[in-house]
Order: sequence, then structure tokens, then C-alpha cells
Amino acid sequence: MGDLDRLNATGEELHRDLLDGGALAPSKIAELFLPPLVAALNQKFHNVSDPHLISLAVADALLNYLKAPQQFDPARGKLFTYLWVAAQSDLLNHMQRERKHATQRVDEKVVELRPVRAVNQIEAEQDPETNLLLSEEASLIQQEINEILLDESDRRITELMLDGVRDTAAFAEVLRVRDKPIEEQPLLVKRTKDRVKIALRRGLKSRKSKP
Amino acid sequence: MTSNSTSAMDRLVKRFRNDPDFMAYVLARYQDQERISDENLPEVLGTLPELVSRLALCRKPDVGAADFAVLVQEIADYTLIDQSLLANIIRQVSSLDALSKASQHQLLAAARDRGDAGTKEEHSLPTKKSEGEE
Repeated sequence: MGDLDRLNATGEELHRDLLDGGALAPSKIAELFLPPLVAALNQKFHNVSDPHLISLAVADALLNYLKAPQQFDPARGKLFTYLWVAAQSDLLNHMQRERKHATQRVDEKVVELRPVRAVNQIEAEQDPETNLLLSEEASLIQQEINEILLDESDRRITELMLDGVRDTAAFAEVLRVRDKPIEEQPLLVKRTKDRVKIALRRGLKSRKSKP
Repeated sequence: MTSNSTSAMDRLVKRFRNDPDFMAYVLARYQDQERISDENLPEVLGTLPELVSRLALCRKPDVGAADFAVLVQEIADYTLIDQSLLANIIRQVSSLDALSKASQHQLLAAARDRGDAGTKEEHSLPTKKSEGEE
């Protein structure tokens, strides 16, 4: 399974979660899709006069989707393609407006504007550029946390929390408390989560107060 | 994240600040109420700045919902924020929003009452006058 396939498989799950009203779903979708969308547009429109137009287009595409996810039909295409085509259309519209205002020639290849209904077209998934643009984003968050939390199991606990894992068993496994009575495990997990958060909070505070 | 990705994420968060269904709205209202700057917000929440954006894009749990505590815990874990702190922030913003709505309704009702009284007076004047004339 390639990066794009993995992205779309996760996207499909998150889309269902979003429709079901999942509290974390909008955040997870934005974090998952925003970097590759920006990278895709940056690569395709590398000569864009104002790079902020790209972030504007991606933010608009995600905003529109997150506010009305039911408009995306998974049967007609993949989520990345849907968002990418929407962002591209937005960007082209922004660029067209910029051109009108600035009346200066922008050195970009001309791409025809797609009607909104074309956003779901499967054809766009075949665009080879899409596959090339899914560069991996390093997890700076975990890196920062690792600087504060030195205990390996505390780090693993934060990883699970940051991944949105809800299953107590996964945490109990890391804490090696699976042999404890089943009713005790949630309490032990909760205590550890709270302790880790306090340690993180203190670590961040002391890091900030250092000159 | 690249600078363009960060900028796109910031824009997205800002766009959700007016949407009461999202935590971005709660944070914006809380910042207004407590006079907290964007720079100081991560410190107040006791988390990393990147996780504040993550929090902002979560759906706001409904304080009246039966699963409020569960959802708050889910979000608190996902953003490494203290659960009771997060619950208090959401409750505070929701309460002040409700109060502000209630006082708006009261003002509107009072204005309506004044309007009604004025209209009644206007209507009753000619009657009195005509009674007096008789």
C-alpha cells in the first residue's frame, strides 16, 4: 500500500467519524490532509506570486469540507483528490483575481478551472503529481515531548494519547497492568495520563522560564 | 510542518473562531473573557502551541450532553491538556454565552414591551380624546 492509499484509507475512516459527529475527527482530518495538500499545490504552482494564496486555498478547501462533509461522496472518489481539486480550483480563482488586480503577467501554466461538480471525478486521482507529493512530515510534537519526558513508558503513553487511542487495554499494555483486575485498569490508566500531563505542563513551564 | 502548512493551519483555525460548534470558538471567547493573548494561550493550557491548533479544530462538546465528560476527556488526552481545566473553560464560555443570550432576550423583550405600551398609548389616545369630546 502506497502513501496515498494509506492516506485515503485513513481519510475514509475519519470521514465516517466526522459524519458520526466524532469530536476529534475535524482536527485529525486537518492534520492529516493539510501538509500534503500544501505540498501538492506548492509543487504544481511553484511560481505563484504570493505563496500565501496556497495556504488560503487549502484552508478554504478544508473549511468547506469540514462544515459540509456530506457533500463529499466516497463512492465517486477519494478524499485527498476531493480536497486537492477543491483547493486547486480555489487557488486558480484567487490567482485569477490577483491577475485582474495586478494586471501583471504571472508565469504559470494555464490550467482550466473545473466546475464544482468535477471535484469528485476519479480522473484526477490518476494525476501522477499527487502520488509524488506526499512527503513525510516529521513529528516535531513528539520530539518536543521527548525532550521533557524521559521515561520511555511515559513517552509511549503520550504517543497513544496523541494518536487519539481510546482503548484502555492499549494503555494498560504499556503500563504492564494487564494482569490487574479489569475494573482497576481504567483508574490506573487515568492516573498515569494525569501524571504525564502534569509532568509535561511543569516541563514546558520550566523550559520557558529558562533564559 | 512547513511555513505554508503552518500558515494554512492558522488560517483554518481563525476561520473556525466564529463557529460555536468548534473549540476554536471556545478558545477565542475564553481569550476575550480572560484577556489572554495567542502567545500566552499554550502556557495557560499547559500544552504545546501545535496542540492548541489541534484543540481548536476539535468539535465542542455540549455541556448539557450526557457524554460531556467522556468527550472532554477524549479531547484533553488528544491535546495533552488537563481534563478539569478544559471542562471548566468550556463550561465558563457556555455559561457566559447563555447569560449574554438571556440578557439579549430580556433587552429585546423590554424593548418590545415599551413598543407595545407606546402603541397602546397611541391607540388609546384618540379614544380618550373622543370620549372627552363626547
